[in-house]
Amino acid sequence: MAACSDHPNIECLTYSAVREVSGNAGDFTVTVAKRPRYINESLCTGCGECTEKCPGKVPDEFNLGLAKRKSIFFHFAQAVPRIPVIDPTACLMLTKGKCGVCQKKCGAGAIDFKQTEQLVKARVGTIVVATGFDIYDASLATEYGFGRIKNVLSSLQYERLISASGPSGGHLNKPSDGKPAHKIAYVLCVGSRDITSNNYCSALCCMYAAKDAMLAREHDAGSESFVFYTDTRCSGKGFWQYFEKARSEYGVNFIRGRVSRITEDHSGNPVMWYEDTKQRRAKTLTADMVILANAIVPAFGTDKLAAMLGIELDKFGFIATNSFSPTDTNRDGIFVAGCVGGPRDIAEAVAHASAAAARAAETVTREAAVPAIGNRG
Amino acid sequence: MSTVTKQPRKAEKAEEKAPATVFEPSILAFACNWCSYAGADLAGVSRLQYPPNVKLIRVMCSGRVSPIFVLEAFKKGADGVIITGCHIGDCHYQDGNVKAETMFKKLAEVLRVLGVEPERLRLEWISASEGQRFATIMTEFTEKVRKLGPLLSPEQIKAQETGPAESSDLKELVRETGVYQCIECGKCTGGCLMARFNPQVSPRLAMKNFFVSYFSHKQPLKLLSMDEVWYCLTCETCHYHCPAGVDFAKFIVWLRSEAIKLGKTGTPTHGGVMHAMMEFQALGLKQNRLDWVDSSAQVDEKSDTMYYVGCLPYFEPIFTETGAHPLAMARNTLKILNALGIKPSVYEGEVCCGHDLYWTGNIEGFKKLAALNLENIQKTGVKRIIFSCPECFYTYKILYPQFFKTVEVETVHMMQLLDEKIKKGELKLGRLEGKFTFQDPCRLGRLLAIYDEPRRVLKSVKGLDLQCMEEIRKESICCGSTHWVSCSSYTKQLQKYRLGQAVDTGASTLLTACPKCQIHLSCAAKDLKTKMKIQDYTEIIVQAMEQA
Repeated sequence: MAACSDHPNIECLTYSAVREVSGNAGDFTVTVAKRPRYINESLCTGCGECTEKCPGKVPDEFNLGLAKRKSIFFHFAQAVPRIPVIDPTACLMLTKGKCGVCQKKCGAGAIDFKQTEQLVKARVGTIVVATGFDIYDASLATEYGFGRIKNVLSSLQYERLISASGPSGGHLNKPSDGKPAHKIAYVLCVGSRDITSNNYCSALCCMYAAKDAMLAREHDAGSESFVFYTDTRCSGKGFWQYFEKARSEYGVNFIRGRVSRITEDHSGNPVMWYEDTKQRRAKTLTADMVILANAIVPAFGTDKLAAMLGIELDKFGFIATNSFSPTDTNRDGIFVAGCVGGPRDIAEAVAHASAAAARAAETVTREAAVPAIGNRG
Repeated sequence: MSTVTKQPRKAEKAEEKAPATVFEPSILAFACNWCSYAGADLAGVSRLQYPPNVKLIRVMCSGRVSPIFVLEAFKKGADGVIITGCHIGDCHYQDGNVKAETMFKKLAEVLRVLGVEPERLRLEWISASEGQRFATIMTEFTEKVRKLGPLLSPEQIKAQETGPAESSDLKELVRETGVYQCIECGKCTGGCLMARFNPQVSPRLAMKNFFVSYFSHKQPLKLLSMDEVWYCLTCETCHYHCPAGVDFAKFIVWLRSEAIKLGKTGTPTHGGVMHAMMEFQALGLKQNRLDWVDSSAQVDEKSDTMYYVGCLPYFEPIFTETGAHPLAMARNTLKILNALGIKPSVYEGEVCCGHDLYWTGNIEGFKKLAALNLENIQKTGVKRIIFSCPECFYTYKILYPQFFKTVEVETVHMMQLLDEKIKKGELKLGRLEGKFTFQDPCRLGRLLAIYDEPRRVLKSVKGLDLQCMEEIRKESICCGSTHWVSCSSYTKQLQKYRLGQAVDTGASTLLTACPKCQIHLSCAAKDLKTKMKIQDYTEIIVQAMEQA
């Protein structure tokens, strides 16, 4: 990311939103709204003094609500560019008109509460849509009690918990009482392969659940891991071996059966009700912590963006592509990279993005352009 | 020679038939092995005459006579039924006759509501030495029934016969229930409320077994004879859980209807009397089902709004000892409707909606009742029907249109009506202190997605503290039986579990909105001796209305 922003031929517009797109392949005009950071970007040195003194405290989006952040904050530690942002809904100065502590503390005098949204017009030859994905809101699957039972977490929350730079410093502590969790269960297919929510396979969950379970065992050798799966979908080179490693070397318990519901026992531990389909028995399991493998869903606003760009969505809301031209949309000169076109793991997304970049390069260097096989406008 | 003798015999028969003005009733007598049967024997050896209309069935004890025996006898053409046993205190099994007496009282009341004259059923104590008494009672009873005339006409008896069973279309079933889409993830079994306590139950395996047996042997016979077919509560928890959208409850109904064709009926609760009672209503007798409507209630026979009462008048005599009062629901509903300025009609010709027969797989019985009800709706010309029972509401709203395409009547449940009227401020509710919790009925909740209305209605009562149980709304736990089949130790465990959740909320009263929830949970609460009070929500609304 840093390399990208430092590149002389790449202009990064972060904290921005596309407002309008006009023109055709080879000559697009894109109107981008740069949202106000309330910080003069050319003056800011990124020292972070302001974020330390700010009195505001709101749930941190990057840590998925597991920690608090200030009203003036960096989105995450490696955020590019290293310039903080003021949250206009939480900042006392912007909401109530009093405070201004950051302004006093800023040695560079970069804080500017009067900043407004700026429209930037850019003329480009081609567009690559790589807006990523969101995770399924597990609270919609009410049977799993996400949001109601404290020790039921989403997979991304788990990633933050197990991360050394995360809110608990890499310790797997139960959100209910802060005590370490020893018995951890991973529930797959939450919101995916389900006609009531998303009727497709999210593709990554089997693998990252195995990884998560191994991480927990590495972190605490005395812990127990249980993975509830529907089918092991480990398609890829070495994926099945990885899965087997989790089973044989790390002692992760894999249970075939989709969890039906999660309730809370008197001590606040989640209880899973499921059928072990190999043993043909309905059972329960009480764990310290349950991690839900949320489905991958189209990022919020993908539909609006697609309407602006004049490109089609598939029936799930991802951007529609053709099997034979997986990076091409139905409009010439607009390409797709990564999960906005459907669930993909990292390696696949990188390859996909490289292909999209190559296709984009073809458009701008018209001589090299070859007609693509499949749907083109 | 033979032709000569035959001729006068025929003539004799013709002569016998000619004065058909004297009605010969068919009387069925149940006699206990130890007293009354011996009494009948004594009457025989003493050459005491009694009418040949009486057909005697020996039972080991009068307590063995199940209400279903009596109902079946009436259905099959008996004009009178008499149960005889030892005198109180003389029972060979200590208190079998006391049980018989309790049963008799309930049954007599049910029969009265069903439209059978009380004189047609009799209970008598006859000891082994009372041969004379036996003969006198039988003669007297026969004469009494003779005067009453026949209960059912020959046509009515014949109408009960069903034709040869048609084989169902499996392709249709697969398309309608989606069983073929099963991905065998086990989510149904894990969530199944019965499977929690009964390890034999597994919806997933039931479907798998069905397909294996059907496609390898072309006959699902093995599965149909298994108890598994009858364990299902049809609460539809599995349907709601299923990621492939399989309608397992519908599949179970199909299996049951097939099993019935093979003569298998599962284990109905209350000796099958409930289902017999519902089938009895399809016979077309004039019933006495409106006795409960007292003078204070305002009903208008010409109103275009009808209040459909359902089976509450039948449940009342049967379940009073559990502490449940199903009829109070009907009385309270009328009170609330009157307070809202609605004068509904209550229809004497109404019959059971057929819900229980449908879910037990008796589709023919269901269709008969449904046809009668729809005919009545057309006859009375009502525009709107108000329901207090979620099961009746579901049956009218969802099941009737599936079988009969021409149901042109608005159906409203009391919860919807109350919610709407309270929002508009048309119902004034006073203050009512107390901690309550609410049991979602499966028909109103999971099957019709009416979750918010009951909560809004109850919360509109000031001072009412509504607590949430652990598993509510879509995850709500069934009261244990939806259609009077397979009440077992497992369902008792389920009820105990649910009552435990209710106690955990700290509430003193569990509010129900379905007569079956009220009956089953009251029964369990009585068995478990918990202090949790089970009450119908209409009682709370009426109390709050009185406080206003």
